[in-house]
Amino acid sequence: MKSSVRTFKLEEKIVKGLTATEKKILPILVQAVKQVDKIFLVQENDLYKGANLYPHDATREEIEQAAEDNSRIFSPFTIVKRDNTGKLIAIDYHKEYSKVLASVSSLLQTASKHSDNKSFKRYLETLSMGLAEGKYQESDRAWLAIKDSNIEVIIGPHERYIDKLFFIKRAYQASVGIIDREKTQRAKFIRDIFYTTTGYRPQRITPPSIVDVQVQNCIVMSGFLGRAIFSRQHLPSDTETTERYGSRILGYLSAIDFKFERFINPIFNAIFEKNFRASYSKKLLEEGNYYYVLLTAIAQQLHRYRNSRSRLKELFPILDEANSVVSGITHAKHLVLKGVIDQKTLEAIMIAQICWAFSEWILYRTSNLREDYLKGDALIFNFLIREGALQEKSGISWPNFAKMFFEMENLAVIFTRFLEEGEYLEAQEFLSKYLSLEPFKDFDQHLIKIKPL
Amino acid sequence: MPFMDKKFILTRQGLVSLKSEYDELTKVKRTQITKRIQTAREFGDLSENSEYDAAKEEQSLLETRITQLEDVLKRAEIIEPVKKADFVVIGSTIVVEIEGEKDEFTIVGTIEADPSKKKISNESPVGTAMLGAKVGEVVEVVTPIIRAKYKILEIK
Repeated sequence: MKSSVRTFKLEEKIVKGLTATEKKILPILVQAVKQVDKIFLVQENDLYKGANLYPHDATREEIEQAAEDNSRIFSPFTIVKRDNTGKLIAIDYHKEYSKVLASVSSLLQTASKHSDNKSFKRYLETLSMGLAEGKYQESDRAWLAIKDSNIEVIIGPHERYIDKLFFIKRAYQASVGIIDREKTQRAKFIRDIFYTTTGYRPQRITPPSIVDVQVQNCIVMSGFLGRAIFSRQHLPSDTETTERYGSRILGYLSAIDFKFERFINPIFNAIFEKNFRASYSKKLLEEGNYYYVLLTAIAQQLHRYRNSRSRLKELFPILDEANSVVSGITHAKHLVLKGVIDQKTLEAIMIAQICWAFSEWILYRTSNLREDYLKGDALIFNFLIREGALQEKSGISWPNFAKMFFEMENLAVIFTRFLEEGEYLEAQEFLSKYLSLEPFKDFDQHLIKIKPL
Repeated sequence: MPFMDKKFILTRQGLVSLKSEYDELTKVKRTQITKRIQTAREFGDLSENSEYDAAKEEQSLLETRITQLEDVLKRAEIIEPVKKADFVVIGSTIVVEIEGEKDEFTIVGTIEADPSKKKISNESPVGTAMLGAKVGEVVEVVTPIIRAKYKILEIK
């Protein structure tokens, strides 16, 4: 299996901004982050819906039945195996992966000893202990309480996307980067505009404090994060922790830039007509791409509703992604109206959205890791094509921005309602009407030169 | 209006703040950055000197801002503080309702605009549409892509 470690080169001046102690700690944390790859490689398996988190021969029904007697079967932090008698049993992650976790913990301990930032030191200590003992809430709290650190590091079992069977079990992931203060400030400003223009919704999960935002130059990602190359993420991923202690959005500049060069810009040149393309410089498109990632990240955090995961089951990640995209873009209306961004930037954001859908389609050629994202994007794409907001001829796309925006506003209402109070069956009905990957195939002739990772 | 004739609308407070920024940049920062460049030069080989490059880059940004401020200060048009008016003017703080949500902001000249501090430019789509509107009025703001309706609840 190919390594999940992805390293990004940073400009020298970014590293120069670190304190002397931080410069000492950074290589240790990089080493700890890379170690996580070993756990992820044991967890992932594209061939099975339950990856390597459940026995490959166990059916959904058998697992559900076993969970009735043993609730730990459905813990996000256990792996399900068979004992000698064939019975399904749950084994804690921290026991199953103890060898690698001991090494990661030890590196975190070393880093914490060097640190002279009290809150960061405490985070590293609690993380080191939490990973080894399978206790995650304390380090989540310590992470949210970090102050004045230029380094951002996360390690742990976080995202559920590799569990396509139940969307419960978490995959290990890690990243370390250097915070970009200016971009973080700007992102907070956009967040504030979003938050003051969103209506009251009784089912919304409201963190006790305003959701923090942090934009960083990532140095290395590994585990699920390295494999999926996320551009954005919000943590902690646990609803209870978020509701009690708060939440933080992470924006990964290195991944955003990497994806722009590798996918977004080449896709733009491949599927849009030449004269249409001439109106959008690379710089403008790059800006639109950055805003797109930021807007969807903030919208995703803004639209967290109680019980949505349990109600919508495996449909949740698809609808969550789709809603983040359309709600993110429609919330951008306030940025245009107040003169924060101009009309052309909004167009570039919408172009980036289409290109992102195709980047998921290209990545899907070799991996189903981001399948839920692709499906979320496909829902939107099909809706826009059917409503005539997006015209397609011989694999070349022509957007009508006004109509696109109007239809996205409609979709945002539909998806938000599904997440808020929708039932599984009605969501399934909507998906059966609009979820198809077929329309992407019409563009394949133009995308053939853009290779997946 | 030709660009060179364009006036920059500023409140007195805005003018004071821009003047103080100009003074800080020309009297303090300019000297600081010159010293930094001088020190960086002493590190040797300029082609491999990242500190020198960073300082030069900062100097260029500083000089651009100074030029911009000189231009604004030269063409500034001061608007007097608004007493409570019946309709929206530059300087009005207004409370509006949009899509069931209340929002409050002040309409200011473009140079002073800072939406994060609820200061919206008179040249933004909302600013343009609001000017002259009265309490109770529903103002439709239309751009080629977006349509939005604001109801004016209060003019402060």
